[in-house]
Amino acid sequence: MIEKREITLTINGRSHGVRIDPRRTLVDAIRDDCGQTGTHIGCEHGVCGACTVLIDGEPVRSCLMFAVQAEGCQIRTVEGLANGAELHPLQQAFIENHGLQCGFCTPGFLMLATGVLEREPNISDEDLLDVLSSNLCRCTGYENIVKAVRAAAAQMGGGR
Amino acid sequence: MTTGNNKWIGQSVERLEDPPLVRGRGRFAADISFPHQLHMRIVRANHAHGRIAAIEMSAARTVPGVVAVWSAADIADIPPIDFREGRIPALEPYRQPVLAIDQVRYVGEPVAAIFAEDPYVAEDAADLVTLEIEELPILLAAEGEPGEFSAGRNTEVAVIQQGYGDVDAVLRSAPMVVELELGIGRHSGVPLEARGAIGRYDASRDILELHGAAKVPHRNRDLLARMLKLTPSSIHVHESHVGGGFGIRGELYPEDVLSASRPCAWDAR
Repeated sequence: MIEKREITLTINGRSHGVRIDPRRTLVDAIRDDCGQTGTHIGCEHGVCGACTVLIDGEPVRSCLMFAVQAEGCQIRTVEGLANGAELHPLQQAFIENHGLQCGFCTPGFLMLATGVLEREPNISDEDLLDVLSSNLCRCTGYENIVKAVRAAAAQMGGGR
Repeated sequence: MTTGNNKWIGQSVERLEDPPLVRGRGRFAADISFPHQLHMRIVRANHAHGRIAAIEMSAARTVPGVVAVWSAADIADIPPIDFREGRIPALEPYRQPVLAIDQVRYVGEPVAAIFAEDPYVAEDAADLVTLEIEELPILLAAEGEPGEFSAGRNTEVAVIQQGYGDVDAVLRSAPMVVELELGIGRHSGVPLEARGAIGRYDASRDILELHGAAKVPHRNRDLLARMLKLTPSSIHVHESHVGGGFGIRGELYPEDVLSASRPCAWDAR
């Protein structure tokens, strides 16, 4: 057996000390060791994007990364989007534009969109479609997700 | 018709279910866990049709952290999975066993189940189970000749014809007849949340709890009670958030019966 490793994961600004196998995936550590179950596991091989989180601002498939690789990074998950009772503009926009039905893919889409809008608030429609096509949703048909992200972008100060 | 001050009809209304879902506060199957729960992994058939010559499980049993390894022989007292919509006698010989008995009939059919203290260990042990399968002829076309399902039974269970009236007479007298040949492909729902189930036995109350995505919890409870020879009141089925239904969700699958028979957590990774 390979020795377990003691690491600290920083999730939404809070430190979580965990003792884990080196092979443990980041998403399992976030969910099962740190108790943040808002990040979901769909395909577990990097296709669906349900497990998308932000690592130092970049959207990442947390099922394709080992937890030990995320030590020292700022990890952001869906639980960190709202400010208390106040929803993040993307969360509000997903509700208002019916960007979800079953809600399983939603945390991944929210983090993907947060990452892209923070980096590129004035992203073109074409580039936004390209980015959003990296995640899968089985319920909505995507149109309302695009609409929701567009609406949030306008509210978050994307000039265009 | 009255035209009142209607707030809802014709308006886009916000869904009541959205707030927890956009905050990551949903409770999907894998979000439910209990202290010291066991984890199950399934060894599946890699052949569409074959006779099981041998299942080698001794190496898996020696992995530290593995609690049990089962094949069909270990659960001989559990009957095949019934139809929850009521008995259909013609279909009864075709019911699926919880773990394959003697033959495998589709790629992915559960053949053995591993129970371990850790899901990674369960997966390691599942890799150590080897199946010796003697291949049998496969059927790939629905309209092809039926093959053998089991001794004395072929794969065409029944031919169902439905209709009314004298169709031939109507066609003969019709001013124009249009012929169309229609085919329907095999299809299945593919929700984003994989299947999953958590079984928990509460010895203090003598209650078997099942948690996870469900669709018709009462019927599944009754069906499980029949299969496991328990009273319906001793099984509680708890439905949680469902990551897409698409028609396939909530059927009683082999893995659900297994996670009730040996209380554990299972998700279809």
